[in-house]
Amino acid sequence: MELTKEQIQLVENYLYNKNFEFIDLKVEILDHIISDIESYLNKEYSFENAFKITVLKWDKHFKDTSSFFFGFQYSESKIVVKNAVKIFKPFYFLYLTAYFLPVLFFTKVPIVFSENVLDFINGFLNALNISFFVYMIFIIVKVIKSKVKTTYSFILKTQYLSIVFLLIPLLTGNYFNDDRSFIPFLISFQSAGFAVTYICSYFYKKHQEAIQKYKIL
Amino acid sequence: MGNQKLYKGSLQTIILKLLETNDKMYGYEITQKVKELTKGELKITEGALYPALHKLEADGLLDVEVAKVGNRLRKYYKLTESGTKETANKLDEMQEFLRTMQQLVNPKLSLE
Repeated sequence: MELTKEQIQLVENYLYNKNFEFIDLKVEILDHIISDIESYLNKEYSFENAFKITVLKWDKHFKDTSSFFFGFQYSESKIVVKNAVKIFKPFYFLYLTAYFLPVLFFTKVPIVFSENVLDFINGFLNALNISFFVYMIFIIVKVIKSKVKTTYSFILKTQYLSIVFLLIPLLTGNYFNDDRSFIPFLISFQSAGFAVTYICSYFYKKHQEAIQKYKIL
Repeated sequence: MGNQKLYKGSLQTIILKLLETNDKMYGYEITQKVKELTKGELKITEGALYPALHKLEADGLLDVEVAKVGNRLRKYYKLTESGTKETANKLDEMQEFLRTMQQLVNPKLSLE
């Protein structure tokens, strides 16, 4: 037995009240809840009872949850966070590698550069840094302005603060110690900043794709 | 009901296998099919199913299509070409795992 348009609207209101407006997930979660209700209707339950029983089962999936992978200050519905963690996990390890590898390498192997290349390397890294910083600002502004929520926009939101990895080397401007070796932590910040920019660029593309795919529905 | 934790690592293989047999399926249908095939022994929760489906989609193993069904929209999943290849790999891995477990749990039986 199929739900009427009015009954579907009640399910949509339930999702709205749970602040569940993630367009990449909403279609199938709505369909799943409706299918659950319909299975009770087929067992001769009234719509009201079927709705109550189904909602009891789904409530736990919409409970506000946070994750170690994003930081505990960022919370969303459990089903969104679980989804985001599963997609984000490999990028988290990329992020850690990008930070720790340079700091370990340049601490153990302090390569000394000749005087005449220092300005070139500083200039090159600063130019890269500025362009990545501008690109990050562009992504942040675009995502905030679009106001459409997807799993990817949630992931992006949790990465905005990482822009400090680009900002600190940018403010310092010089990547070398007095002995002309790299300052390991600045190179690590720079490397982590590049990794974050790549991660944000990847999820921004996914966010845009999701909007194109689901917004017209 | 068996220990659900033992099945946890096999969820992606289960989904891929179901899609190999059924061409295209939607989330609710997958949960019901698993319940039916295992006679209620294995119940896939929504909280585990959708993250697994989206990960497979993000890895390029599944393709999606949205169709209007009655008064609502439904998202169907189907295997991509690389998804079909990966299903064969995952099923081989699963068979190997089952053989190894059999040797450990029931050595006499596995020698016969």
